Formats: sequence, C-alpha cells, structure tokens
Amino acid sequence: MKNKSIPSLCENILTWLSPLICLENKDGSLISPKKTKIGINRPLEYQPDYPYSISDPRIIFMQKLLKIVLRQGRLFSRHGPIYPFAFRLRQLNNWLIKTNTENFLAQLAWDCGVNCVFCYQKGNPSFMKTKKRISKAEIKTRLKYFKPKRNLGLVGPKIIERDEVLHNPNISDIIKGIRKKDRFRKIDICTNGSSLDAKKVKMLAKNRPLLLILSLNSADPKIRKRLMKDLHPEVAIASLPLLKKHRIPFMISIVAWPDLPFSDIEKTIRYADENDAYAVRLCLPGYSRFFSKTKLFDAKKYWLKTIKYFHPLYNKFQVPIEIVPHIFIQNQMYARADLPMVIGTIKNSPAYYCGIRPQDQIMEINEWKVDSIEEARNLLISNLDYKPKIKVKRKKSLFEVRVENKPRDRYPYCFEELKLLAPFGIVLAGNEISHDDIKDIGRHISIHNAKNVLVLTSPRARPFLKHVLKKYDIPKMYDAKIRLVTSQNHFFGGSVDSADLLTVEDCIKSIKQSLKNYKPDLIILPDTPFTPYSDWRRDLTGRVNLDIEREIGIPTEFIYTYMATT
Amino acid sequence: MKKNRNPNVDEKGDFILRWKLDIPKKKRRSKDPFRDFTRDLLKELLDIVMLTYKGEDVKVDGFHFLNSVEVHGLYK
Repeated sequence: MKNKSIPSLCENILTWLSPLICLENKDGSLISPKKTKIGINRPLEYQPDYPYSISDPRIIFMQKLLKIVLRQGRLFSRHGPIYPFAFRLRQLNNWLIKTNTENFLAQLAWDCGVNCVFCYQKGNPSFMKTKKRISKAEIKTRLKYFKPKRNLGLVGPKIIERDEVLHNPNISDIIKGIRKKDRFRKIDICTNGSSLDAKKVKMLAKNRPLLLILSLNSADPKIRKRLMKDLHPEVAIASLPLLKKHRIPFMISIVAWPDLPFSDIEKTIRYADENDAYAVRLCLPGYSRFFSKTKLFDAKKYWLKTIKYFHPLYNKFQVPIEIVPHIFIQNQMYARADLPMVIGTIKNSPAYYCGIRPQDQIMEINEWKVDSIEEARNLLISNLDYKPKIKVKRKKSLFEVRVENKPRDRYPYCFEELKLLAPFGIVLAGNEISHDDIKDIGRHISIHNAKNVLVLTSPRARPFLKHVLKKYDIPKMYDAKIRLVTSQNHFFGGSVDSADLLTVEDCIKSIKQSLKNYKPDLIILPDTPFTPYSDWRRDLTGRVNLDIEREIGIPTEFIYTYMATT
Repeated sequence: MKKNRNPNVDEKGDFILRWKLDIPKKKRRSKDPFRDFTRDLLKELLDIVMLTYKGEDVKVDGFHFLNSVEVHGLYK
C-alpha cells in the first residue's frame, strides 16, 4: 500500500516544481512534449553546487528533491524512458536575491594573474575551489538582472574565491553597465593593482564614485615580485599617484607575512601616506591546516610582535593604520575591546583640521558621555549634518573640538559613503561590539525560563562579553548561571582563531566537550559564523545552524551580534 | 530554428543557469522505502523552512504517518 503511493507523489512533486524549473537531457535539450533540439557546438556550462548551497539553498533543495524522486522511479514520455541529466531555472526574474555591487563584481572576477605566498585561497578545502571563468553571455545576463538601487541580483555564489575583477576583459562595459543603472552609488573594487595602468585608472575615474582597496603589500618592486609573483610590480606601485591624480579614494592593504620585513612595511605605509591613501590596512597573518600541515609560525607571538612595532607608529604617519583583526589589538592595547579610541583621521577631513589625532579617546559628543565604539560611531553619524562638539582625552589632558562637514570636502575625504565609514574623518575600530545585542542574551533566558545557560564565544570576544554581562548584571537580573565556553576552529585548524570561520561541526564539538559534567538548559551562540555568507543560516560548509540543536538536543538560540567577530 | 545557437543561452537571450543532477546509479536498499522517502523529503525541507504554529516557531525531530502512532526520528 505504501509503495504504491510513491509514483503519484513523485508526479505531484514534479508538477509542483514545473513552474519553477524544467528538466534537461544531457545535451541541454528540454524534457517536454514540445522539446526543441539545439546545437552542441559549445560545451554546456553548469553552475557549481557548493556556493549555491550557501547563497540560495532553495536550488540545492530542488536538486535533492529531484534526486530523491528520480531514485525512486523512472520517468517516461510518449517516446519511452527519459533520463534527466540536469535542470535549469525558469523565469530568471523570479530568482533575484539580495546582492550588493561588491558581491556582484566579485561574481564577474577573472584570474588574478599573481600568486601570493600568503594567498588565503591556498588555505581553502578542495570543495570550496569552484573557480570558473565567467562567459560573456553570463556577464550580459547577470548585468541585465542586476538592480543596484534595490540591492537585487540574479542568484549567484556569495562565497567566491575572489580573484581580480579588473582583469575581466569586459570590465569597462561592466562598470559602465552598473553606472547606467545607478549613477550615484559608490562602487567598491578590491584589486591587486597588477592591471591598474593609466588607461584603466582613467576609465575608473569616469565612473566615480568608486572606492578602491588595493592589495599592494610592498612598494618595493623586488619584494612585491617575490611576495606576490607579480611579473610587472611597477604597474601596481605606479598606480598610487595615478589614483591620487584622478581623485579616486583608495585604501592599501598589506599582509604582514613573516617574510616581509617591518622596515619594508613602514616604507610602504610612507608611500601610501605620500600619495594620500585614505587608510592603510595591515592584516595580521594566519593560515589554515589546508594551507600547511606543519606549523609555519607562532601566530599569537608574531601578532603581538607586529602590533608592538606598528601601534606606536600611528602618530608617525598622517594616514590611519588599521591593524586587523581590530578586536585583537583593542584587547591587547587598551583596557577594553570597545573603548572608543581613534585609530586615525582621514587627510583633509574635518577631524584632521581640528586636530584629533590617533590614540585620542572620545569621551563626549554634544555633552553625551560615550562609553563604546558603537555609541561614538552612532552619535557621530547622527550628527553628520550638524556641528557636534567632541570632548577628547589625550593622555591625561581633556579638550573639546567642533567638527563640521563642508559641502565640498577635499580629496581623499570627498564622498558621502566615506563619511559614513569614517564620520567627520574619524577612523574607529571597525568590528564594534553591540551592547544591545549582548543584552539580548537576557531576552532568550527569559523566554526559555533558563537557569543554566551556556554561551559560546570566540577566544577574542570572551573578555568583552564578560565585561558586558557584568556591566548590565545579566546573570542576576535574569536569575541564571551563565557559563562562557570558548570555541575552537577544528575545521580550518592551523592558526585560525576566528568565529567567522567556525562551522556547525566546530560549534557542536566545542559544546560537547563542555557537557561532560555540566547540563545547561539553554545554549546561546553568536550568529557570526552563519550570517556573513548566507541569508539562509548556513556555515561555510553549507550546513544549516539548526543542526546544532538537532545534534546536541538542548534548546539553542542565536544572537545577532558582532561579539565574536575576528 | 537557428542552427549553431549557443546552447548556454535560451530563446530570450538569457544565459541558462543549470545544475547537474548526478543521480546515483545504485538504489538504496530499504525495508520501508516510503518511510525513508518521506524522511529524506522532510529533512531537506526542514533545512530551508521553519514550521510555525500560531506564529511561533515549531522545531520538530520526527514524524508519524496519520494511520499509525509509530514515530520515525529525523536526525538520529
């Protein structure tokens, strides 16, 4: 009786799916009574499964559904059995998902043309390696359906081994195409600069507002060549004065790989400073177990050595030096991770002119006491159209300044979006931790009426989380015992120590280890391992975060917070 | 019909977004294929939807057929 109902259910499922998709034969022809034959002179292009399992698992769901159905029985047409090989999406208009310009451009990237010794892509597991050169037809279609004003684009990968969009031979048409759809929106471009010659910079200048993140790593041609295997290092190095000439704001990034002498990093920062970069991002190095099975260096020691060298240089250069992960340096150098310390000020900004300097602490804005980076940023942004009074602490002295944006600010502080990133030109640590979100722990405790609560946190966020829980007296207020459990990055391994790169399996392992002599009635986790990549609560392996509760068997909630960011 | 048309572009000129099906040739042996079929179906579905009752999330870990009280676990 049970088996008899399978074919009819399968038929029903295929009928339900038919408005959404159509089945294809191996040659790409459609399986339908009115099937049309098409030429096969060109190879058929298939989308990789992995990135879609994160960006839009509806597609992978339909794929699995079809597999389940087709495993159970065979399809027949009037002409005999049918063996579907693939499926395609119908009505692409129905398949638009949240997409910003940065993600859209990353989907159209080309080979990078360099081979950096520290390339993070070398540290990705094999299933993440889904590189393909995007065809002109796909570019045309993606551009057709891209709606930047509504932040929508054709369903596509969000996890991409980002290469180099400026190497795409159609880059000029792509940028012009985006500009046609939205004249004023800022376009973010990440580039290694190896193709950033005068012609390309001119083309970009015609399509402002643009913001470039240039992976320079070294301003010394020999060192850049060795580090990045860039055959023409002079192109990227020469691009800085060109960007300045054409008034394109840019930040340069440097990976402080142990091979790279500090003296060279300092020279590169000076070069960026001379050419009016709006900031320098110094990335502390790391590697996964897929990058190297053996220990390459002691990351913690090297990170400490690096920040001890570069933190005092904040005041030596005009250009703000952002050392990332921010929370690491904030933990190491200041009393608290979220102390509103100024990293630097953008040249020609109101903060630059009124004398705010790196390592100043913002105490008050318009006589409102400021206690965290989050408060400082929110107050500054809400006062962008006014002339706020800022009280600043420098060493032991206190002083007040007034800042005001001018109708036409000067390069590099010269467009609206930069004013939101660094209000009045004040650069603060980026990954702020929201007190409100951590206070949300209390709401979950109350809903579940929990008495013993396990909160999973990254090692770096732990001190801050402890501080906020104590500050708002959350355990006492909700009459619950809270135990903080530190997560471990088993999956990526190596020196990786970041909540953003945790997987569902990592969370399960870390929680299970703490359950030996302890039984919480509620588990709370940050959602940071899941939200950066997916609107569908997926980790980097494509697994849904609901699997944690399914496996552990204890109610589990997620807090929407930055608390465990790198 | 045009000859040598690009098979990656449909009749409207849009690029075709297609995925392979890769159906395993070996059929899974099962004592109760309909139960397994239903379990597979529900597991996949519950990875993209959250069921609700009167607006509240309902987390499920099993199911039973309406003609029986025997509960079949989804995850263990």
